[in-house]
Amino acid sequence: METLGSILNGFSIALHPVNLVFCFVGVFVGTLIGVLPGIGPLGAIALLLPSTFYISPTSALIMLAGIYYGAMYGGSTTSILVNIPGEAASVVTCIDGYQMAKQGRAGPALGIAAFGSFIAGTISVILLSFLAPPLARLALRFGPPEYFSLMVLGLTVLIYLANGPIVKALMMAALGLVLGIVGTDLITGRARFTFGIIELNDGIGIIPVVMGLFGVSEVLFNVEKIMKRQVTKTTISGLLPNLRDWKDSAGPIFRGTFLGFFLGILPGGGAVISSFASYAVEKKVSKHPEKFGTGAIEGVAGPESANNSATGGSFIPLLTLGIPTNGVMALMLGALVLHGLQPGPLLMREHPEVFWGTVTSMYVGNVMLLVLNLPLIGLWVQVLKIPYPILFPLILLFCLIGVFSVSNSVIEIWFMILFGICGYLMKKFEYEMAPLVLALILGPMFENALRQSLIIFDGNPLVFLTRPISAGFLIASCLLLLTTLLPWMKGKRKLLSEGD
Amino acid sequence: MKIYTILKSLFLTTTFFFLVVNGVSAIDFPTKPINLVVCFAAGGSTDIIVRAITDRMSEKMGVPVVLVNKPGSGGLIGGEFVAKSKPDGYNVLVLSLAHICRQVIDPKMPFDVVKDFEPICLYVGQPIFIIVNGDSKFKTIEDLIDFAKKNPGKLSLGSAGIGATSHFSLELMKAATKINFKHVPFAGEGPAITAVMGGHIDGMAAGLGAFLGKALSGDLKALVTFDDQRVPELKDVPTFKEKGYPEAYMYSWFSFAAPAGTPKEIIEKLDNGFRAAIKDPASEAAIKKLYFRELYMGHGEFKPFVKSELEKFDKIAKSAGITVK
Amino acid sequence: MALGIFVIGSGFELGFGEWREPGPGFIVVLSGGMLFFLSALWLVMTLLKKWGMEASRRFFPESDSYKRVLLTLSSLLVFALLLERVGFMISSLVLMIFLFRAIEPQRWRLTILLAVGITVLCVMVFQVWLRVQFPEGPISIYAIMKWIR
Repeated sequence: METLGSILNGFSIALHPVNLVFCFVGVFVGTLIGVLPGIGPLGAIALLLPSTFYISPTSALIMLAGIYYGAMYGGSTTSILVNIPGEAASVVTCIDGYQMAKQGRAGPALGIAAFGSFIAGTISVILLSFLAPPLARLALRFGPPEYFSLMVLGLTVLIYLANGPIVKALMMAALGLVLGIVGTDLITGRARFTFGIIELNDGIGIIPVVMGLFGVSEVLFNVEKIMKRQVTKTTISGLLPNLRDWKDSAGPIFRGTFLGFFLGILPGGGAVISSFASYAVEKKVSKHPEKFGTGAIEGVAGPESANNSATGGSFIPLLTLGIPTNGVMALMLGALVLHGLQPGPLLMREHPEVFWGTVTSMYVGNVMLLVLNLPLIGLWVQVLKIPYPILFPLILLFCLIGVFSVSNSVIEIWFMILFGICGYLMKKFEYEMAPLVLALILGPMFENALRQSLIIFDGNPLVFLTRPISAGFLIASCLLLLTTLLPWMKGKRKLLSEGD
Repeated sequence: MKIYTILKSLFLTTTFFFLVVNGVSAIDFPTKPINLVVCFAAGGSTDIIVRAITDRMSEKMGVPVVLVNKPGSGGLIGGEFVAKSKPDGYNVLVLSLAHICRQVIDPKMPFDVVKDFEPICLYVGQPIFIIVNGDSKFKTIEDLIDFAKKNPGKLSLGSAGIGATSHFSLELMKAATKINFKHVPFAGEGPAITAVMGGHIDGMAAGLGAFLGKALSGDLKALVTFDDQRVPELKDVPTFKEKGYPEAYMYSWFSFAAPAGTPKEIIEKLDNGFRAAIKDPASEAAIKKLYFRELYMGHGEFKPFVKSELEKFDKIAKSAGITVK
Repeated sequence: MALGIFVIGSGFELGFGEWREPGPGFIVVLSGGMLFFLSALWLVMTLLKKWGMEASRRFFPESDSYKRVLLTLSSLLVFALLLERVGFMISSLVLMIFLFRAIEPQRWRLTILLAVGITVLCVMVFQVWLRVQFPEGPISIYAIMKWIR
């Protein structure tokens, strides 16, 4: 088993003191960055990229990779504590994680997020080591038609995110779709709904939307009852997840891991989509779906595992084929190029030490993350004890800085405020935000994939069904739709019969 | 209360000091950091190629030269920012062919490349190629052209988006070879390359750096280059000129420009600084590593070059009918 | 009266316009139409429910709570306005001081201390370490550093 030999070789590189240091720095910086809302791994890696010029490519990759999944984990911290998603992939964690925090269970939430991420990360690295090349080839089979069908499935999955009446959730989804239209149309290059504001040419940014909808609106909402809030502060019960939590989370963690891993391999949106998908899956298989949205630990365990293993998965196309799956990977690609390495299928063959060194260091990094973060949970929980009148200005300031740091533009701040108002109103009228966010992300992808497919195949809609992968997703969507509607229709029938 | 008073006086003194000290004159330019505005996200090829010389630039100019990313709408946000900033030499735009391409298709662009900018110098260029899947049935560019002529509108060729330099490359090829094909825009070079590798489209136009690794491994094949000479890394790939289509000539370039109205002395200082930084052996090595070609053109030659590129691509846009209404 | 608000709440989503544009029009019409249809549906459903039930909900749990929300909101707007004009440090200071005082007044000493402390911390972490580009106003870190030297 030549792979085993390579792995051992890789470990010897990863455990080399110099690389251990880089790994630690990466993971540490990454977690910090992840906690700070807005700036995200993309910004951090971009900043540190030039300094990696002076170190070996393997060490550079190790550090940058550490930043990436460190940030993935850190993002969930703010999601849980103050309902501010550190980045788009952490949005789902806000839903149940923050509820848990409000119930005084921030510790277990953070803990299960940490453990889930660790387990997921480890498993994904193992899968990565053995299955990388064939998986990458599989990823290549995804062309526009496959993406379209995947998006259809994703949008169908949307319905599961709803806690309240389906009509309301669909309304939010429709709104998300409409908002997703804003920007330059990919196929014709025409600007849609931009009203002459050039910042809108690329569409409404996801970060201002998400931070406004979740973070700012939460603050506005809380500011109303500020005096009452201090009184109802419950005691922080236990810092770590208890046995019950573990039992509940085991399934979600494993499901999330595999879901995230496979979705992460696909270029374009891996971690975000996988976290939403995991949430939906958990809700579907749970015996108590009503608990979701009120602090169900499955709603934290699943998505967190998913987005961490998606991180692992997203490395595959880059390391085996030289294809970046998202912005962060594109930066890694840049890092490789900067060091004179040509990313592509030859990388694994000609520079196995880079590949294996990075892969094994990811395992090491996961361990470091866990060790680093568990003690910190106690610290984070203390943050919640800060009286709200002092805490909330800080939250707002961080949101403002966070949004600005992504784009250097005040207009994005305006957007965040606007969406903060929207979010606040939505909370008041009990409309859900998750469907809107998902539709906002998936909508444009859905549309582009559809139109690209139609161009390539001369407007033949059957292509979605004749290609196996694409057909598979479409069938799954139909099944999903049916299983949702069935109980609803049954319910209607009961209502009618009772009404007699 | 004492703290308050101290802070108040601190505030006032600092303000006073800063306002007094803030004089700007061309004689002692530069006195504070210079912003190099890159219109694309960090980590992209533009970003990396500029980062390769910022350190040396800082040395030559004596002040930190800071790379500022202002991504968005293919160069509009960064471009507008510099166009509207004070012409004091502290904000320099990384002007590229992409800006020109954008201008010729967008009449409502918030700035004009020729009127609102004073070009400083040309920096680097990168050749563009037509690439296909490694297992593609097209082994040479003639195969591709023949197929397209016999089956008009059946070929699917991708680009990085409407109005991107790769899109213009495709149109240039169309005009020169008179073939017809389907243009499939993608959201950037990356997704398009992935589509070619997966065999979902027949081919695309791409810059050298983006696909070289995959060409060397055989996953992709380069059929022809738009450059006027063969490229050492891909010696077997012919040029359009050799194949009888000399009009199909272009390359992607990057340069530096200051807002219009910047005093001549400042432009000269910047030009000299850039030249020294670019010609520095360390920079040349870095540029080569990134598969770009150093193409320094001083202010005098470069200014008319910008105009000619604008005219050239305007023609292409008009004949291909590309607009962004 | 509260009912009215409920209906308005659903109603304001109505009529999100359907634009007719050739190529790109498809998704616009689809989603715009969907939104319109769904909002109308919901409006009808809500109205039907209201006929049968008495649902009275207090919009604002406390009488003057909306003042706080408005104040917070306007402070954010002011921040956004000021930011590019007077630079980050001043904007941040103003924001912090205002928020600490206006919603639930803290003691002056604590306010100033926290406001300055946090602003400086943010500048250190974001501007100096992470090199996020903040707009500079009269007070900026460079000016202060120059003044120190």
